[in-house]
Amino acid sequence: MPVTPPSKAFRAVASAAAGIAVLFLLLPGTLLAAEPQSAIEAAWWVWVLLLFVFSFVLGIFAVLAGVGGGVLFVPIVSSFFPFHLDFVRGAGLMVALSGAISAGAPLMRKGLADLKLGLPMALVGSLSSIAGAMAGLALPAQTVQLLLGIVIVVIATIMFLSGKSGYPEVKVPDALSKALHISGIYYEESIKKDVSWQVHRTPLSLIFFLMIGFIGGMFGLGAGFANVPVFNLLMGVPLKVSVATSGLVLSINGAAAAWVYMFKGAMLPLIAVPSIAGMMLGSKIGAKLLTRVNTSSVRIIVVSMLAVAGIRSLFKGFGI
Amino acid sequence: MKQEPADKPHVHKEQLAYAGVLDKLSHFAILFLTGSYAAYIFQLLPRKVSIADIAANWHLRASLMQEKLDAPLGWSFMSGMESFWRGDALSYFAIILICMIPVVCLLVTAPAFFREKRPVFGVIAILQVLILLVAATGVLVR
Repeated sequence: MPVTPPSKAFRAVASAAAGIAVLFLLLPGTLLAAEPQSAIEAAWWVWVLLLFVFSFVLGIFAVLAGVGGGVLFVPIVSSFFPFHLDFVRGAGLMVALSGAISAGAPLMRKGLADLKLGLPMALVGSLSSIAGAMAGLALPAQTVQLLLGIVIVVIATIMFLSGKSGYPEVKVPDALSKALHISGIYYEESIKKDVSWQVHRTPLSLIFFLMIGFIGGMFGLGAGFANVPVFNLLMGVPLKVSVATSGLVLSINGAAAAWVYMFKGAMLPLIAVPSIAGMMLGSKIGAKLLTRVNTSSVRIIVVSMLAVAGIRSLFKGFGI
Repeated sequence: MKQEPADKPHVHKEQLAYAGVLDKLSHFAILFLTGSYAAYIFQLLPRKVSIADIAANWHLRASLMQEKLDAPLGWSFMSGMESFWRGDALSYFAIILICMIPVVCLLVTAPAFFREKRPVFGVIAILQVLILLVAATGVLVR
C-alpha cells in the first residue's frame, strides 16, 4: 500500500504523542513513584487527568502499531504512575475488554470476527484467565512485577521477530475443526473478493489459548499480542479474521477475569474509567490516522516502549 | 449504513444476533460509564469513600486498601438503595455492566445456535455463560 506523506495536523498530533510518551519513559521512576503521600493527596485529579491523557496517547499508538491497548497499558502505567500494580491490572483488563466490546459488533456483522472460531477458544481461555487472575492477586506484588517484566520483554521480542500472513493456506483442516464446522467466508474490500478460510491444529491451539488466558488474567493484559499469532500463524486464519476474532475472545476472557479483580477489591473506578475513556478515544483517532502513517515505524516505537517498560518492570521486580 | 455486497450470505444468524445485542449494550454501557463517572468525580451524588482517601491509599495492595477503606467490592454496593445510589457505587456498577455484556450476548445467541442446528455451539455458549456467572458470584475467590 502506498504511504502518503503525513499532513501537518498528523505531524503535530504524532509529535505531541511521541513527546509525552518519551517524557514518561525518560522520567525517573522515583519521581512518579508512590512515595510522596501529601503530593498525591493534594493532586488526585492531576493523576487522573494524566492517566486519561496518557491512555489517549497509548490508544493512538496501539492502533497504529496493531496491538491491543492492554498490553501497552499495564507495563507502562505500572512503571510510571503511583497506583499499585493490582489496580493497574484491574484497569488494564477493563481497557482491553472495553476496546474489544466497542469494536465487536461491526466486525461480527462483516463476518470478520467469527463466533464459531472464537467461542471454543474463549471457553478454555476464560477458565484459565480466572485462574491467572487468582494467582496474580495471591502472589507477592514484587514477584508479579518481576514476572510481568519477563512477559513484556518476551512479548516485545516476539512482536519484533514474528511475521504475519495475510491469507494463510490451509490445505487440510483438522478433524476437530471439521467436526465443529469451523470455517468461513468474508468479503475482502482491498481485493474486492470473497475470501474463504478453514483451520488446522485446533487441539494444539486450544492448549495455547489456555496458556494465553492464564497470562492475560494474571497480568491484566489484553491478549491480542498472543491470540492473533495463534489464530493466524498456527491455525491458518486470515489476518483480518484473526485480529477481529481475537477481540471477541478477549471480551469474554477479560469479563471472566475482571470478576476476580472486583471481588478482591482491585477494581477502582477512579483509575479504570479514565483509562477506558482515554484508550477508546485514542483508538478512534488512531484508526483515522491509520491510512496516513507508516505503521511499521510506529510499530518499532511501540516495541521499543514495551521493551523499556518491561525492563523497568524487571528492575522494580528486583527492587532496584 | 452501507453494507458490503457479500455481507448477509456469509454471516450466520446467531452471529448477527450476538452483534445486534453487543451493539446496543456497548453503547448503553459506555454512556452509563461516562455519566456515572461524572456523578462520581464531580460529587453530584454522595460517595461511600472519598476520592482523597482512595488517592492516599492507591499505592497499597488491593487487600490492604480494602481493609482500610471498605470501598465497593463485588456486589456489596447492592445491599440497599442507599448504598447503591452513590457516585462511586454507580461508577463501579458501570464496570459490572460492561462485564455482563458477553453474558447477555451469549444468552441471546445460545437459542439461535440450537434453532440453526448447531447444538454443539449452543452448549458451548451455555457453558460459557455458566463460567461467567460463577465468576460473577464471587464463590471462586472466597
